[in-house]
Amino acid sequence: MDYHKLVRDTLRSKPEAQRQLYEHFARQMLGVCFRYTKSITDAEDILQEGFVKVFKRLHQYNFEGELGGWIRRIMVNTALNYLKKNKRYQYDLSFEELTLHPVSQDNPDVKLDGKELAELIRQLPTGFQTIFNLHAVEGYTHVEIAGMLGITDGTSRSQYARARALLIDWIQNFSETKPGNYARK
Amino acid sequence: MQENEFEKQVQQKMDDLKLHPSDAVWQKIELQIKKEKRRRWLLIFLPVIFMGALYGGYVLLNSNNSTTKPQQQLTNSVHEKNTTDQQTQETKTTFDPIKNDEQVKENKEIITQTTNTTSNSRQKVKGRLKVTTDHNTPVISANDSSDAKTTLETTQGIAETGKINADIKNPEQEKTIINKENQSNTVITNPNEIAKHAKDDMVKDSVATKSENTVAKENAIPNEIKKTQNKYPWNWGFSFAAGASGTANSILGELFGDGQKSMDLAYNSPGSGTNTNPLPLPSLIKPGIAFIAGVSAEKNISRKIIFTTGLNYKLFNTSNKVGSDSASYYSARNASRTYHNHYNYIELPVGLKYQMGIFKKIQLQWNTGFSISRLISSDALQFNNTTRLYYHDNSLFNQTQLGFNTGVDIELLSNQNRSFFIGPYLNYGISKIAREGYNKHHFTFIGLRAQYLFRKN
Repeated sequence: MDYHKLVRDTLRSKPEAQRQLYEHFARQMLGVCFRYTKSITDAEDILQEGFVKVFKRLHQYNFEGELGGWIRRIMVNTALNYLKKNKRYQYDLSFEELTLHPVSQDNPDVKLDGKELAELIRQLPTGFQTIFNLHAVEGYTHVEIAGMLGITDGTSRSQYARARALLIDWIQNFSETKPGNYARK
Repeated sequence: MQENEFEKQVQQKMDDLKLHPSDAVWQKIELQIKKEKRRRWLLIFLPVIFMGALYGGYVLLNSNNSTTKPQQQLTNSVHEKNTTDQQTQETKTTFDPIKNDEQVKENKEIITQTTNTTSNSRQKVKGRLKVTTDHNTPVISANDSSDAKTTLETTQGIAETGKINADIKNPEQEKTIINKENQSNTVITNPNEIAKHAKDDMVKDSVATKSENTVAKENAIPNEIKKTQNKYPWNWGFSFAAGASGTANSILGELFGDGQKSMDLAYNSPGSGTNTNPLPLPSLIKPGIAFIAGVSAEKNISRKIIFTTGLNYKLFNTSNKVGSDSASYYSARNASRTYHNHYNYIELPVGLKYQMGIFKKIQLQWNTGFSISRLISSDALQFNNTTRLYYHDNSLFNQTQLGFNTGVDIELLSNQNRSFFIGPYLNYGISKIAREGYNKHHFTFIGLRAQYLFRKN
C-alpha cells in the first residue's frame, strides 16, 4: 500500500481515502485498545476517539517511522487519557508503592492465542494492566512510563514485576485459574 | 536476557491480535470529521462575513458625501506652502545603504605561505601579522605575540564597521606578506594590491597545510548559506484587516478624538476671549471604518522568528462635522453634516513574527514591525484658522508616512500546505498625517486581521 498517497489524499479530505485509512488500521488498533480496557464497548470508544485525533493531526505526520506505529502511539495515549477520565477506571488506576518485587526469571512458553492472552491481561487490576501493556507490549521503559503516568520508575518496576508474576501464574494454570482471584494489596 | 523471551512472545501475540469493530464506530468517526470540517470553515468565513458587514456599513455611511470638492488652495496666513521642501523632507527611508561596498568585496582574502624572493618584492615576516583596515586604508604590521590563528577573517560579517582584523601566525614556517614593489617595511596601503596578490597566492598554495583549513572554511560558508536557504523557503499569502482608524495627538495620548483640546488652543486666535462673537471651532475628528488588504511574504530566519514583508492597500477614514458648503469649501458654522475623510495609501510593511508557542493546541505568534505608506489620494478636509472654513489641500499631508504595527496571530487552520491566522492588529502612525494644521495628528488603526498563507514544503 502506498502510504504517501493515502496520507496525501486523506489530508485533502477525500472520504474514500479516510475510509481506506480507517479500514486498514482499525482492526489492529482495536486490539491495542482492547488490552487497556475491561469491555469491548470502552475499547471501541477509545478507537473512535483515537481515529478522530489521527485525522486531525495527520498533517503532523512527516513519514519518519511507520504510519502504523504513529497511529498506535496516538491510540495508546488516547487509551491512557480515557482511563484517567473514566470513573470506572479511576479507582483501580491507583499506583500504590508495593514492596519491591523481584522480576521472576520464569519464561514459560505462551501457548495461548492472542485473544486469550489479551483476556488474561485484561483481568489484571487496571494499574497492573496498564503498566504491563506499556512495558511488555509497547516497549516503553519504566522511566518513560513513570513520566506518562505521573509515578516513580520504582513504582512502575514493582507494579510490572507483580503483574508479570501474576500473568505467568495464570498462563501456567490457564485451564484452572479463574479470572479475578488475584491478590490486592 | 531471559526476561525478554516472555515479553517477546507476548508482544508477538499482541501484534497479531486483530479485532473487528462494529459499523457504528466508523459512522461516529465520520460524523465527528464532518463536524470538525464545518467548525473550521465557520472560523474561516466568520471574519470574512464580519469584514463584509463592515464594508457594507461603510458604504451605507458614506452615502452622505454627495459631492467631491475640487482641490483649491486658499490664501492662509498661518500655513507656509513649500511643496519642494515637503517632497525632499518626506523621502525618508529606514534603509541605509551598506557603506564601503568595494571594501567589503575586496577584503575577502587569504594570506598564505610563499617563499621569500626579492625579485617580486616580497618580504619575509616572522611572528604575528596584524592586518587592520580603516575604511580604505589597510595596514599590515608585524607583532611578536604568539597567537595561533592562521586565517584572515573575511569582512562580510563586519563590513559595516569598515574594519578587518586578521591574526596570522605560522609558528613552523616562514610567512610572507605581499608588499608594494621596493618597499622594505611592512606597511601596505593599497587594498587592491593585497586582494590581487592574495588571490594569486591562494591559487599557488592551495595545497599548503595551513591554507587547507581556511579554504575549507571558505567553502563551508556557501554550503551553510545554501542549507539555510533551502531549510526556510519563502511563504506567500494574502491578508485582510478591518477595523477602525482614528487620530491620536501623541504616542501616549488618547487613541481617538483627543485632538479637540489641542485644537482649541491652536485654533483660538488671540484675544478671542474678549470677542463677543464666538468663532466656530473646527470639529472633532472622529474615527471611521478602515481596511488594510494585500499580499504578504514571510521567511523563517530562525526556528521561532519569521521575517515578514508585503505590499498592502490601506484605506483609512475619519469623519468630522461641517456646515453649509459652497463650491470649494465648507463652513464650520452650524456644523451638523458629517463629512467622511478618506485616505488611500500603498503600504510596505516589514517586520518580524515571533512564534510564542502552542496554547491549548493553538499556535500563537506575536508580530511587530514598521511600515512605510505612500499617500495615493485623499479627499480629507483642512481647516483655515483665519477664514474658519474647511477646504481641500493635499499638499499639506505628509506623502510618505512611517508607521509601527503590532499584533497577535492565532493559527486556526494548519496543514502541510496552508495556514490561516486571525488576530488583533494595531497600526500606529509614527509620522503625522500632516506637518501642521487640522490634521497634524498620528493615525491609529485597531482591528482584526486575517491572513491566509501558502507554505512551501
